Amino acid sequence: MGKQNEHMKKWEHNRSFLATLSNDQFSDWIATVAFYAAVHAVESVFAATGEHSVSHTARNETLRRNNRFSHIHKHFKHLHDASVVARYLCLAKEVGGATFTSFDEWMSPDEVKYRLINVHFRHVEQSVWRLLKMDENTWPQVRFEKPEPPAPDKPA
Amino acid sequence: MVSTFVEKIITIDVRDSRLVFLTGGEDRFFMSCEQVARSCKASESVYRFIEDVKMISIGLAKWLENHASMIEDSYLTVTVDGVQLFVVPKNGKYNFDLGDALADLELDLCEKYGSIGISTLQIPGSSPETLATFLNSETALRYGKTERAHEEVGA
Repeated sequence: MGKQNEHMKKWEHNRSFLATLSNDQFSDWIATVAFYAAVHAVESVFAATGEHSVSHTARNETLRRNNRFSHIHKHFKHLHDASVVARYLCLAKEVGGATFTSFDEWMSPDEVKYRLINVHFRHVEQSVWRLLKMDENTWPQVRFEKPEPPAPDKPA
Repeated sequence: MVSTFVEKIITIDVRDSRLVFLTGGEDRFFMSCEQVARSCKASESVYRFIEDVKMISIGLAKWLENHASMIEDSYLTVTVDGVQLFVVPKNGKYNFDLGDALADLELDLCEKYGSIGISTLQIPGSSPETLATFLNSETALRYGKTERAHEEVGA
């Protein structure tokens, strides 16, 4: 892996899969897929200048050290940190006396969909499109729509 | 038991671009000037790294105190990858505002201490199982619960 077109293909592939996910029971996987889509989006930018990250640590370092990427860093960090916990948390934990059993209790499915994906993932992608001088309108949007609140019952 | 310490004088001689270390006995060690320069530089980098980590640690303590309203607990580890700060948010839930603040903190520290990798991570709780999942708690430095400590001091 290393060429820009290869990263872009993987980015597209992962975000296409992300767009198919909606089951709240698997919000940990929604967060993880979004992170890996973002990873390849970021690597597409790096590849444009011949760079390649050998690890997640190295990628984060590059994002932090280069002012061009500080906007990406701020949004990518949420995706990275969410995915670390999503991937590795597996035991019931005690937090402030409450039993902590799953990723959902750490980050709710609504937070994953409407904040992590709709805000932070979107910001990462928009920054990448801008840096690569690409037209974002040519990419299908990945966005979770909030369900309409139920209409109040009409009086009989 | 009484022991005596005999101070040995090491003589350093320069011969053909090499340094010869004479220990006073039969032992002689040869090092090229480049090797000696590299060793001195390495020693200097280790010293600078330790000093930087001390300063980072002090800076983080202040930062944690300023953000104590969002933080339940925090740990600092130093590994080959650099310095890592693990933060347990209050209420045991991921805090997006805290995430924004940590992202800014990373950028700030990276600008000040560019040679050291510094990263942060919010973790869900500080039970032994959680800590074992994300860090080596045996070697981690645990920061005090600043807000609570102040309350206790003031009480």
